[in-house]
Amino acid sequence: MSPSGLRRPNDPPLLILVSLADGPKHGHALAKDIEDFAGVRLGPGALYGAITRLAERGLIEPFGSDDDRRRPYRITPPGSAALAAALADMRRVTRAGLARLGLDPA
Amino acid sequence: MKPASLLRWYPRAWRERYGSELAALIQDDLDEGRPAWRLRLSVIGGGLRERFRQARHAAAASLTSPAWHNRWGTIVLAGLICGFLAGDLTSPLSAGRRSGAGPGGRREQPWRPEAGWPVWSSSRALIRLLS
Repeated sequence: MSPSGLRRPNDPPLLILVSLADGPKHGHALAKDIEDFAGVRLGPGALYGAITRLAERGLIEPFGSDDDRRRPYRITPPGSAALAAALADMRRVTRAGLARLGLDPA
Repeated sequence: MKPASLLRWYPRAWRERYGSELAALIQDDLDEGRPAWRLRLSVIGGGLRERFRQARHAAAASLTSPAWHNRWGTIVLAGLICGFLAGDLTSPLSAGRRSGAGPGGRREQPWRPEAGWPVWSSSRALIRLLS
């Protein structure tokens, strides 16, 4: 496992970082967004388990809100760097796989 | 199903930090008509994972705490002393000294200070280790 804890494309921490890459979101908005772009429905337990790990590692942080029940989170600079590294790894693997299947146009 | 009742699966510290957010998310999912049994399974699984993780962290922290350092020090010291005493009692030199006879059955020479060198050097090494 990488230091950022990102392992596979449908890994909840990775999906959360991708969702937060375009702006802060609270739990329900995160779950909806992830379902829209990845087709993965994260249950409340899985979602908040991943949020806990990411916050502990400093990859995301709560973003100012007075409402404790709808607290938004945002990605931190280390979180952006970890996401970029994980996506670059996935792109390398994807390119290799597509090329070996003869599906890569490049 | 009341979201607050499901939160009891989580450790108290976790609930104090994330409990209200998780309860709101569960309520939102219920309002959208998500199956209650699936929500329940997800929350119970998450709570058990969190409890297991905290227990694991607590166990790891206690093994590396100063109190455990003292205990490890005591255990190592006791082991060294036992090893030192056992080595001294079973060495041919001390056995011969106790019986007064040498390995070949002949009478050994009376003990001389220089014959105690291994014991003396071991004592010094032990004292140096402990200081």
